[in-house]
Amino acid sequence: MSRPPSRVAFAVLLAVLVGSGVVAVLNVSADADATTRGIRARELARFTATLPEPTGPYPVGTVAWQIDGTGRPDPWRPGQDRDLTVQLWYPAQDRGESAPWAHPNVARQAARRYGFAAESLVALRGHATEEAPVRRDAGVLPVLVFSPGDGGNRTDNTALTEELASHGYLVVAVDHLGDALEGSSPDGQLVGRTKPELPEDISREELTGPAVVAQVEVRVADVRAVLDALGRVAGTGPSGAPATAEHIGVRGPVPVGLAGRIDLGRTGVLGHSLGGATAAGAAYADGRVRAGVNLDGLVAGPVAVEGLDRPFLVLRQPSHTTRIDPSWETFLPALRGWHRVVTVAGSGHYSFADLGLWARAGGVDLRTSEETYRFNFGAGDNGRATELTRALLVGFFDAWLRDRPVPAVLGGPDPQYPELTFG
Amino acid sequence: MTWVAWRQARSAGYGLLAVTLGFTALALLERTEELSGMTRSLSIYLSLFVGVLLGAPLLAQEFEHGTYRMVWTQGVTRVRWLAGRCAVALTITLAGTAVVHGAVIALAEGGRGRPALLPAPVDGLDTAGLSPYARAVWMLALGLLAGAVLRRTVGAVAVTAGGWMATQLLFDNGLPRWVPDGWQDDFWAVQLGASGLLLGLTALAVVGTLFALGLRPALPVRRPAVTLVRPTPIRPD
Repeated sequence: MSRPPSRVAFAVLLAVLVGSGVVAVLNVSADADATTRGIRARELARFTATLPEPTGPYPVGTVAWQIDGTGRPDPWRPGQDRDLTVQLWYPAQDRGESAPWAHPNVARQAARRYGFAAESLVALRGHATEEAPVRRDAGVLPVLVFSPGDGGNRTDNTALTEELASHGYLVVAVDHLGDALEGSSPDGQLVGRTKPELPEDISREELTGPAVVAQVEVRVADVRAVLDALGRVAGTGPSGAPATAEHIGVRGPVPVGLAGRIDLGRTGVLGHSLGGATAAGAAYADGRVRAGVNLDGLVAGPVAVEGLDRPFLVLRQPSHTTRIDPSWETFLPALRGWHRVVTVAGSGHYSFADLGLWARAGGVDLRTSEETYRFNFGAGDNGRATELTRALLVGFFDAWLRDRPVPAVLGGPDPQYPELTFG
Repeated sequence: MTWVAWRQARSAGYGLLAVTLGFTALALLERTEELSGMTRSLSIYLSLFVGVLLGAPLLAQEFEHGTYRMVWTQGVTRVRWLAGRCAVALTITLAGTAVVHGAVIALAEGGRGRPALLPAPVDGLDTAGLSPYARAVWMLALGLLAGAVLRRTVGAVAVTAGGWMATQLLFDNGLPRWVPDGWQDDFWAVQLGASGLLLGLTALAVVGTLFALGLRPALPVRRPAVTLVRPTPIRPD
């Protein structure tokens, strides 16, 4: 290389220096921006989480049970029989002190996972009174089994389960132990997640593949075991005396007035995400299930192809389409009973879980890209999404388990509910 | 002058270019694999390469090869010669740092669909903001000083590497504890404090280099006019 004139060499040097300076300024301001958002997110992480008041006529009671040795080996925890923890919500006689949303062990770990300060969730209380006697004038109680999403815990959807209980249902949410990220015994001892992880970047085809089907099968069997256990508790008779019922494989206090009031003849299932797949699978596999709801979940196994002849409701966020979920391509056309597919405008995947209510307040939007946030939490108000979901669930189960007329919210487009579209 | 300085810094420049490309490749890799945060945390080593490849040999090699004598007899003043070499080395340093820092932000972090988020000003201090630049400039100056004092490349490289480790210790243990209460959540205060410290050290190293080369820096001291004959003091009556 021959020597260029010194003026040219100097100009090149200057140009590189200025260019580097410009890039450096952009970089430093990007870091400053990221740090400012980080500080803000840290401040927001100490937010006060709340749950909306249930709207039904009854106060709510709650209790946790362990359901023992369901007679099958645990596929996710080798060497032991499968057991489950369930949380019950039911109409209560009186309102007492509200129970914590979850045991501190569960709340603390979930908070860390969401990036919240521990106290945000440890201090959170729902609206249910622990072990309250069952409401005497609520009649026999239709049963709803709730299956949370992949990794979800039994209290992850408390805004919905308390609402249904306040309207007179016995709601039983399941900790699918080995699947739940903060699965726990009734007294709050954590049980780790041991099920095989699905690949993070799971392909569209694999969503309906054998790995997912196998996991849903375990969960469906769990739901059926819960119904069996409820049947055994119901069989202890209407004495109404509080009982620990070890001989029937259920460990935990039975609230006063519950035993004789469990109406398994009117059973529904519902679930969020992978729990929605569980609900559809249980409705397919178990004749006791008369109606089901899938909250923004895929569907797996034979039900995805053969569909259902029973009433079934699907709620979806706007971007959950057959483009990302092939199971709906076959499942939705195969629904032969009364059914609706309702889109909640402005919602995201976790708008159907308690987390959606706290995402913005807790600064989750500062820690994710806008696109990720919108998919998971929607662009709208999740308080409103919860209100709508509550109304849709109560209306649906009232119609199909209690023979009430289908309410306006489920009937089709209604100016009162502009966020809902039917397809 | 610039051209000569570039020719002299060329091999070091190519070495740093290779290092910069390596970091850029790593940043691209991080984007596709789940290696979150790797490029940013490894970017602390860039300043080590600056000090060892560029700073330490810059003057030490002149002395080892005797080239400085040739330059000094070419009608170029020592200060101009030093300034030229430093300007080229500084430009290479800043360009390399800006490219690696940009690759971390734009390729490794921006492309993953999750914006980079630094939880606290102190947590990201050694890889974020102004400090990568201040640190690289400080390592360059330390390399110059070591080369000017020791006049041997191997020794200068060893001292510079030791200085890099001491600097890392400062970032890991010293600086985070010295941030005054109330500054903890102020990005600019923490950044300017740390970078100011490093640039202060840099200034000391530059002054030390000038002394080691026998070039008195122009200090703001009043000097007596040079006179051959001492004037007779005037006695007051």
